[in-house]
Amino acid sequence: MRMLIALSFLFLVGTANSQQLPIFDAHLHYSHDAWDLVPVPQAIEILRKAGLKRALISSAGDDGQQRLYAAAPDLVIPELRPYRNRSDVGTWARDSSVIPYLESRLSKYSYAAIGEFHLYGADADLPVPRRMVELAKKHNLFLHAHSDVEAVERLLAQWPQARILWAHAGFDSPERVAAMLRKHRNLWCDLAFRTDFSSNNKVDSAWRSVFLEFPDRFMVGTDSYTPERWHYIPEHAAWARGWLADLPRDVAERIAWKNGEALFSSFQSR
Amino acid sequence: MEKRRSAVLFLSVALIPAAQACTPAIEGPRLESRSYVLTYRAAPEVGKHFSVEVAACAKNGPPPQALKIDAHMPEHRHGMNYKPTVKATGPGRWRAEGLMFHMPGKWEFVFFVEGERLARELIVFSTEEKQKILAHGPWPPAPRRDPSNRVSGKPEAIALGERLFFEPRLSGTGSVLCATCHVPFRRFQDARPRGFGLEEVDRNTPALANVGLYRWYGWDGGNDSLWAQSIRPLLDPREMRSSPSHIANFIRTLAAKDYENAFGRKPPADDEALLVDVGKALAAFQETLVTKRTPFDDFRDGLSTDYPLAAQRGLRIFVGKGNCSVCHFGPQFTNGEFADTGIAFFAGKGRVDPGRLEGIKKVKASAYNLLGRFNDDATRANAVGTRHVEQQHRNFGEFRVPGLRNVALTAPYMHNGSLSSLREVVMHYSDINEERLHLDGEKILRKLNLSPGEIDDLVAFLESLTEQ
Repeated sequence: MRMLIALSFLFLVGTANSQQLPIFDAHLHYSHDAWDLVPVPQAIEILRKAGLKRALISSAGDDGQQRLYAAAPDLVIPELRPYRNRSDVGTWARDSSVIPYLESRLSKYSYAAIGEFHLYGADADLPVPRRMVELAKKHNLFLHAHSDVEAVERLLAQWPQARILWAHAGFDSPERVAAMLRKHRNLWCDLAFRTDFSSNNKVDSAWRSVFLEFPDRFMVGTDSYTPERWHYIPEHAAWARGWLADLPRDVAERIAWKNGEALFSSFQSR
Repeated sequence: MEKRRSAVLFLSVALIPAAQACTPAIEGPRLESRSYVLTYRAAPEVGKHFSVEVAACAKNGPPPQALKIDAHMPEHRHGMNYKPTVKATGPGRWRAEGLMFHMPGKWEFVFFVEGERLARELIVFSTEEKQKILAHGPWPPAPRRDPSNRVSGKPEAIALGERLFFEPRLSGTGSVLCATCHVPFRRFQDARPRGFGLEEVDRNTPALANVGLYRWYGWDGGNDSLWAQSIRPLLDPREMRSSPSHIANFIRTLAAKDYENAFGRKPPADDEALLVDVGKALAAFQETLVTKRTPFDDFRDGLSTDYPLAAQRGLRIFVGKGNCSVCHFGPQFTNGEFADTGIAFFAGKGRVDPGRLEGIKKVKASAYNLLGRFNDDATRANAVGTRHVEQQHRNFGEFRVPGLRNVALTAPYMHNGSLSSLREVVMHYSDINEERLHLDGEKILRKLNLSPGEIDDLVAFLESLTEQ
């Protein structure tokens, strides 16, 4: 009898795991201060335990995600951040030394995107961001922009065919996000570090409309901006599954992982 | 040896000329030069003309005849825009009129008595700064009862709670008591970086001063009442390792009479109900731990003329460019909520302390929360916060904003006791690692780049929150 109960339990667990929605996490960082505190094997273990199908990872100090990629190429999609360390966040757009750094890394490694970078308003037209866009164009890379609407518009003006992953959906309202998605076919959004689109696993009605109108344009993301936040990835994945369950299954699957897989499949086949 | 020292001291005192006893006729800040002692009274407000009452006496000889007064801002290198007039109002008494401080900040009054210069720095607060300072009082607060605890404020319950607070037999091992970590002579904390009941825990033991005034309890806010929080360490295997049945048995066999006095009934058969009542008695006692008035309170209420200038300068930083009062708000110097202050929150190798994120889960799931059956307030009006609080990503690594009364006496600091002195805390905020804060998160915490003198001043202010 005990054996039967145990087998039943194992079956239930197995069923639950097989039904667990895979997650494509489109917003992770593995920056220099995380490398010792969350070593590569532990980082990979966290990603797998969280049920991540794949993750778009950048790091301040590009070596981080390269190490992760080397350890788990099936799991990690590297993107190149224009930051050598995190203090570059506020200065990079005016720092011409960023360009040779990007060029050197691009000549050495393969990436799916350049980003996540922080860029606002008219700064998008400064020489360093302009050159970065040229490099993205040359290497056919996504731009992962933590930007306001104005900067996104300026980036697209520089390169109308640019494919932009708009970090945090710009922390903008559902109406403005929808307007941007209607206007620009090559714009996608990650929903990292936002909780305003759901409450107690119920999706906000305004956001629901946007998700249903643009089911192919959203992805989830954790944003591990401190080393500790690597330990939040499983919690975040579980939370995402919770609110995604309130959407039609096909929409939930697209936002959870299919959009990420579709967009970045070209990198995987390289 | 002691006698000889006393004799020398007496001789020294006896040799001081009697003229040193010269006391001007006004109570107020006292200045002294080689020949004169001066006091004054003024209530300057930024942008308003004011007058100054001055009294001076000579250490030797007749009262001085002549007085001049001026004021300037040493750091700005300018004076007032108006020239005051001085009128004698009696022997050694004057009234100066027409002064105006046209901007807030550090000013210096300069008096010339018969040509001798006497000066005193003063901090002139802006109207906005004054409003913020006034918001930190009055103190002490009016006594209040916790409606969720039917014995809150009841003397018999307070007595029972005090007895239980010092009762080791409540613990599973019979060796640990509440006061093991909340040590009375250490202001009800333990001076350790991390608490240690039966084992070391991940967090610093918070002091219990004014604990009855909080909205949430514990560094993570995992409880929404003081009585529920009082149950937690009893059952935690690392702290007191007890159980409801063990505690209930203790009350029934060794404290039944005290219980009956406090609760007006014999100990019930329900272990859990009895456990909750133990929590409520402990809470009734802890609610009485209210700190006394501080030098800051006297200054805030206008009762003090000798509040140290360094503390005043620090206060100005606290309510001004430091933005400290945004979170350390109100009479208790806390907004009662939680913040990510850029402190690392790894709790050990490969382990993090999720802080408020976990606290919200705990309080929502707790059988002892204010939404549950043990809340003695049938209206549940006190459960609004518990009903509406919801996890957000930023809660990961947030910890409670502690009150600051008696803060100078409760080192070490932060949720994990990682900073050993007030100076280290101030330096942490002055030089905060902004890279640890999300760019679209809290905008309050930014590098202050305080000078060493400003750090001293802020520490002096925090020290002035120590009860007298």
